[in-house]
Amino acid sequence: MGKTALYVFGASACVLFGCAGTPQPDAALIAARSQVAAAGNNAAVVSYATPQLQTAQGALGQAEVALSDADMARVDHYAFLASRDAETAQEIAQAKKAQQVVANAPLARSQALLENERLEAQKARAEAAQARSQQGLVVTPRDIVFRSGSAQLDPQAAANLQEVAQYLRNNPDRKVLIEGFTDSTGSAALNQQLSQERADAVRLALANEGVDQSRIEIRGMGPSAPIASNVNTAGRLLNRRVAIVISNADGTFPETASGSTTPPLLAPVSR
Amino acid sequence: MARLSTWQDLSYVFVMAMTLAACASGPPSTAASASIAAANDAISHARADNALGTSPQMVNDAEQRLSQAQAAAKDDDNETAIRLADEAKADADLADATAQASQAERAAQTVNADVNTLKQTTAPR
Repeated sequence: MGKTALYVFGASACVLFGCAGTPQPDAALIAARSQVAAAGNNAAVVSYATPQLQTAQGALGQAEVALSDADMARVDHYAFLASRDAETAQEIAQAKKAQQVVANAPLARSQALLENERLEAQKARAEAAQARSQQGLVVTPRDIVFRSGSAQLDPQAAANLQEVAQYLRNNPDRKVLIEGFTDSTGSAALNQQLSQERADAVRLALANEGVDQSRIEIRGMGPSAPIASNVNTAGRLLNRRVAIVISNADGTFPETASGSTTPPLLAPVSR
Repeated sequence: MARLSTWQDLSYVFVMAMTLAACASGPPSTAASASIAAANDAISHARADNALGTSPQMVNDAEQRLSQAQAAAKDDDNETAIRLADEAKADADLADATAQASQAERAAQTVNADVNTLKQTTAPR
């Protein structure tokens, strides 16, 4: 009974620890295994140092065979070779990779130049856009027209001014100049006053939309600088208008419609 | 007659001795010679690639193993000679590869620095 127990114990010990013929791998073999595995897991080694990797794997295989033969001197010899070959494969891969960098130098140079040209162009565009955004603009809303002799805004026009008001609320550094115009019928004095009243009507509408009064200037321009012919009804309708001049970022105004040599920078707002 | 017989005996002894000598201490096996020659080659390569500059210890190891291999071959221990020579070659190969990698790495760094300079000098400001 006791003897049987001993046999069982011995057998399980064999299973657990490995008996005759299968000694434990020593430090050299363990190191070689991990080095060869590392080399095999390195993509650069696989593509650039295939023969060296294969040599290392072959040596490791020999070491494993020697282990199963329990020939530890041979295990160490082949483990040594496998370790060295694996390291060699890593170095070769590194060398090839670096050589690739050198070979690609002309490409890298031209890519660098191209990239900088692209950045240069981008910068120029950004600067141009910035310059434009600093500039003010002159808008002549086509839907803000007045009946003859009247300075009253129709409700639709007032609604359309909301867009301008919103822009001014979002850009507190900008000021706004409103120029009122008339057609050429009627006396100069009357037209001067009427144009002033038209500009003032727009000022009121903007103020009602929350634009601070101190940012709004108005000017009556009378029948000056007509944008259409005053000989027919349609032309006169277009001339009874306001021009809304948004200041440059520094608060100064761009050339205005009255003395303008520059055309409006934006197409007139119309709906 | 007796004298002639002595010469004959002696020649037998000589032939026997030669035969024994051939058994015990023949020239190094072809395999050992090949391994030693390969190790020699590898060391020359490594030296030519300036491996002494990058891994002097490894080159020394290779040379030591090689001379041990040659000694073993002289002592007709061909198995040891082959092992040592193969190990010497592995050392030398690694030293050579390290030297090549270091040289290529320097060249690549020069190229990278060059490209970086180009990038900086042509960058929009």
